[in-house]
This record gives sequence, structure tokens and C-alpha cells, in this order.
Amino acid sequence: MQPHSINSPGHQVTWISRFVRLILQSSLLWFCLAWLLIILLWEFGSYMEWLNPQILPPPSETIPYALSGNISIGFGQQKTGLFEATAITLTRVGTGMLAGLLVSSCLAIMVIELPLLRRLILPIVQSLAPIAPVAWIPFTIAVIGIGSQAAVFIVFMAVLGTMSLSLIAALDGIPAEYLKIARNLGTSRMRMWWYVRLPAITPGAMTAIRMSFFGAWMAVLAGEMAGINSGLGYMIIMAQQMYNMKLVMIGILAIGFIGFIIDRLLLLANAKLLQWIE
Amino acid sequence: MNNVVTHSTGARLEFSNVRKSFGNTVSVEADNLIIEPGSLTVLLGRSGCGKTTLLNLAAGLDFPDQGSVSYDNQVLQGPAPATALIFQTHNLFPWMTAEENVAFPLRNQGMAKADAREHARQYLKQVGLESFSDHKPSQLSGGMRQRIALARTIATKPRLLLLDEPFSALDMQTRRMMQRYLLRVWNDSAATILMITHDLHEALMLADRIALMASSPRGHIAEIMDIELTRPRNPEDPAFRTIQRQLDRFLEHETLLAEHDPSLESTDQKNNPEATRKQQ
Repeated sequence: MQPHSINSPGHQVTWISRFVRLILQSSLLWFCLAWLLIILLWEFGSYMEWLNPQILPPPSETIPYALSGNISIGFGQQKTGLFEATAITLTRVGTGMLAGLLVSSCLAIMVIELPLLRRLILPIVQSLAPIAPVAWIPFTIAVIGIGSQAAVFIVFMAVLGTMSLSLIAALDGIPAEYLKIARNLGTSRMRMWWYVRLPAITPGAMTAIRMSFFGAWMAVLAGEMAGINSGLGYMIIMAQQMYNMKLVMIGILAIGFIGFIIDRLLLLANAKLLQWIE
Repeated sequence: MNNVVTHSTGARLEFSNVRKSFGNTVSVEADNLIIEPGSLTVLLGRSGCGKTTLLNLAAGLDFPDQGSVSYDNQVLQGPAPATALIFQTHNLFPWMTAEENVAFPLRNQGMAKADAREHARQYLKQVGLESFSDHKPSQLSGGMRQRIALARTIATKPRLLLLDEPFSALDMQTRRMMQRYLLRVWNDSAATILMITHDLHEALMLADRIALMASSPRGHIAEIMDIELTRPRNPEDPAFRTIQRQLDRFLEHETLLAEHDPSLESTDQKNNPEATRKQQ
């Protein structure tokens, strides 16, 4: 059989099918397609008057408003814009998660290094983990108030239990052979943590961080909606109270979009850090 | 492997009235087992008879409830000195490259990073894998990984080498090649080797002595056979085949016992203190 020449129809079919396969495999394409479908259905629903445009303004009104650059609500000191609110919320999530990761890492290290503490710490974190993050909101507002510290504390409490349990489980799950060999090779306690345990638990820790992020993201928004006086959740509640439903929708979409982007970034970091996994 | 740095002698191991239990039952006992310096001893027995427990005791990674394990006449109180371990799997740290894996024990000893890497490359060269120094274990075959594990073993200059079914996950040809590598390391280093295997052929190809382990009423050494076949060994040799049949009969008997007594069924947890601890 003769091979196809570069311009032969057979070659073109192969090239096109490869291109189509590449496009179809692109997650960005599917992301855009999914959102296009939602927007089209939304617009169609408004056009057919299945959706009340006063409550759910159509994309043809919401998108130009989002792109106008003047997305803010409130007056005087209470005035807040989308970007400012997003930055505040992200800072709170970042700070709370970092604090949660630090404290849960310390707890996990103590559980591994001091077997007696395992019996003491495990029941505490096992009790904390099932508490829904939103359950901390009334307590936090009553004790800490309605400032940023309260939001950070809610995030911290949202991630502490689950992240501690995940880290302890990951540390317990390290194949015994790695630890035996490391000990046998004369590894000091510090090097054991840095060069053996830490890389060995990275897959579990990264999954824990991703899962914790969703919890933290939802918790901080709920907190901001329930009384904390700034941030993305606060902006949405204020927009709802002032009947700016376009901003409510933009806020909701921003929550989903930012959550998606951060999850993708965490996945990318995951793939970069875990290239060694078979 | 001519430039392997050698020690004059391997270590001497002695198990004296050793009893080791997990939970309420005695898991394994070894009354008087002496592993002579420079010998290659194989522990042979069915799963669950306590072979790995004995290996852990020899490494000083676990301690007997009764009796003692001595290394050069010193009772072990911690990890045995100048001892290297190789398992069936998980020998290499998968997040490190081949070179980093071999350099790791050298860095543990305080060697400068650049020197450790240079030495690691030399050791990799000795097992013919210098061109794979920047590869992660996931990019290498099972045989290559075990050769790197051997290179790291050479780097630690062990006097005692403890091997827990090191080649059982490999295909037949790679296993034969690794057996030859092991014999070269043993010849060059004069290290004492204590090895677990289920493979009768492997045991006979390698061992000076075979300790046959039985699991009833508890894990214990039933018999020690000195293998006085000349090296290199030939599986076609009638003497080789005779001993192989003897060993086969012993293992068959052990299997029949286990079939009639479910309590002798091997369990991983029985001889896995870590699993027991986590369950608690």
C-alpha cells in the first residue's frame, strides 16, 4: 500500500481528525461550551418569560453590566465593589487556610511523634471534622464580632478538623518500607520529616487542601452573608437588599468562577508536585 | 564492580532464645540461630511463619519480647549498624531521582551535596545505570529499580545485608540477572547476607545455609541445612535436584498443615506491628 502524500485526502482526514481530537480533549473548550449552554438557556428562559427578569435579569443585561467596570453597591463607608470584595474574601480564605494548614500540620506531627498525644488529639479532631462550617458562624460573630478576624476564624475552623484528619491518615498510610529503609539508611528525625514523610504525604495533603478549599470557600461566603460586614458574600446580600439582582447574579457567578479557577490552579500544582506518581 | 569499597568481614548475628509476640500470641521464636560473618543465609518458609519479623529484629527495627539479637556479640538496642535492607517493593523513594536515591544515605552521613551526587553517579555506573541517574523510579523497570536499590546498598558499605523477597516481583530473566548481581556484591563486599525468599530455586542458587521455618505451633526454625554445592551452581546437578526435592517436601508438608488448621493461615497483620498499632 502506498503511503498518503502530504496533500492527499487521506492525509488531510488524519490531520483534521487529530485536530478535532485535540480540541475535544481540551478542558478549556468544554468549560466554555458548558457556560455557553447555561447562558443560552438562561437567555432563552428570559426571552420565553419563564424567568422573571426582575428577579433573574437575562445575560444580555447582566453581562454588559459586568463589563461596565462600575460594579459596586452601597453608600459611604458601606460601599463595596466586586474586585475589592473578591480580594477581601480571597485574603480571608488564604489566611484561614494557611493558619488551618499550619495548626493541622503541627497536630499531625505531634500525633506521629508522641503516641500518647494520638489518643488525646484524635478524638478532638474527629469531633471537630463533622461540624458543618456554617455552624461556627453564630458563635464566631458572638465571640469575635463581624470583622475580618471572624471570617478568618470561620475558615480556620472549617478546615482544621478535616485537614488534621487527612494529614494524620496520610502519615499513617505511608508504606512501612519507606520508613524502615529511611531509618536503616541513618536518616535523622528532621531529614525523615523533610525528605521522606513530607513528600510521601504530598498526594494526600494536596487532596485534603483541595477539599478543604471548597469547605473554606463556602464557609466564608456564608459568614459574610450572615453578618460579617465586607467581602463577596456581604456584597451579594447588600445587592439583594437593594434589589440589584444583576449584581447578585454577578456575585454568584464570580463565586463559581473563582472557585473553579482556584481548583484548577490547585490541580496544576498537584500535577507539578506529583510527577513521580506512577 | 571491582572498585567497590569492601570491608574485611561481614557482621555476625546471633538470635538467642528470641520470642516475639504481636497481641496475645507468640508470633515467632528463634532459640539459637547464628549467622556467621560473610555467610549467605536464606530464610525459607510459607507466608506468616515470622520470616519478616526475624528480619526486622536483625535490622534492629524491632525488638524481641524475650531473648536477644546480637550483632558482633553486642545486643542490638537500636538500628543495626552498617546494615542495608532491600524489600520486594518500595525500596526507592519515588519522589527522588535514581541519583538522589543513591546519594540519600551519603547525605545522611554528612557528605556535601556535590560529593554525594558524584559518588552516587559512580555507584550507578557500577550497576550499569549511570545514564538513568536523573530518572524517577516510575520511569524505570522493576529490575532497574532493584539494581538502583543495590547501588544504594553498595554506597552504604554494609556489613550486613537484609533482603526481604527482593526479586519476587521480577520476571524470571530479570530475577536471574539480579541473583548474579547479588552474588557479585556479596563476593566483592564480603558482607553477611540474610535473605527471605519463597523461591526454592533462588534459595538453592544463592544460599550457603537455608533456615527452614515452620509455622506450627508458632513460627520457628524447624531445620537448618548447609548447602555445600559448588559455585556457580547448576540446577541440572543431581545434588541440586535432591536438595530441591527435600525442600519441596518440607514446604508441601507445611502447606498441608495450614490447610487443616485455619489458625495457621497467614495474615499480614499477624506479623505487622504497624498495622496492629494503627488499629489500636
